Amino acid sequence: MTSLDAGPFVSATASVLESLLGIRPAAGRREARPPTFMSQECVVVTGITGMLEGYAIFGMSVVTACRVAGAMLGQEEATLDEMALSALAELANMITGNAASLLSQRGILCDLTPPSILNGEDMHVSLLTGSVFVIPFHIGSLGLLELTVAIRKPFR
Amino acid sequence: MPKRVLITDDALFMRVTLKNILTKSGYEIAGEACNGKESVAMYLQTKPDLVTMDITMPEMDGISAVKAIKKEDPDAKIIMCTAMGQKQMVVEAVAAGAKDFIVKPFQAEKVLEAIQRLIG
Repeated sequence: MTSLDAGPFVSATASVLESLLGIRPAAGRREARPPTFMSQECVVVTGITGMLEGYAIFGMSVVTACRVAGAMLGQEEATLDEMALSALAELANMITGNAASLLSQRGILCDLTPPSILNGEDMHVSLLTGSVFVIPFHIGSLGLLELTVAIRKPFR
Repeated sequence: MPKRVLITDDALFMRVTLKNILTKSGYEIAGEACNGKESVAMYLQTKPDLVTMDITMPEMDGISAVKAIKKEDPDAKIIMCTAMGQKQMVVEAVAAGAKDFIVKPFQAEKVLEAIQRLIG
C-alpha cells in the first residue's frame, strides 16, 4: 500500500468524527504496523473490496468506545449494548464509505462490507496482506482511536 | 393524515436516528427494514408514501431493492441514505429509480428537505 492510498482514510476519519461528534480530532503520525499485532479492547472492522481490497480497522479502549457511542447517542457515556455497538459500527461504515468516495475521485472504485465488532482483552489480529499502517486520532476528552488500514491491489 | 415512511438500514442506530428525525416532524413510520429483501416485502405490505434506503446491507443491497420495488410500483418514491457517496453509486441508484441521494453523516434538515420535496 502506498501512503497515497492511506490519505483518503485519514481525511475521512477526521471529517466524519468532526461531523458526528463535534470534535476535530488530532491525527498523529502514520506508522507501519506488522501484519500481526495486539489490538485494542474494542475493534470495529470494515472490509474493502473492488480495485483495492483489505480492511479498515478502528481500535479503541472500552472506555473510549463507551464515550464515542455516548456522544453519538446524545448521552455522556453509553454502555456497550446493542444500540451503542450499532452506533460504533455505523461510525466505521461512514468513515470507510467516505474514504471510498474520496478514492473514487482518483478513479479507484471500491465497495464495503458491513462492519463487524470484536470485544475482548489480549486480542491478536493477523492480517493476511502486504503492508499495514496505523494512524492514531486523539478525540479530545473521548480518548484515542487507532485506525489501522491494510489494503492492497487484488491479484487477478 | 400523516405521510408514512419506510426506513431501510441494517444499523439499528441509523433506524432509530431516522425514526426520531421523522416522527419529530410529523411523519409516521410505516416500518423499519434491516435489509433490501425485508424492505421490498414491507413496501408491498405497507405501501408507504416514501422509502429511505441504505445501500450496503446484508441479504439484499439497497440498489437491488430499489429495482425490485420500482418493478412492482413504478411510482415508488425512494431516497438513498448511505455512506457510499461515489458518483458511480449515485448514477446507479438514480438509474434504478431513486429520487434523491443523501450521504451519511447527514444533518436532519437535509433529510427533511429531501423528503418534503417529494411528499410534502
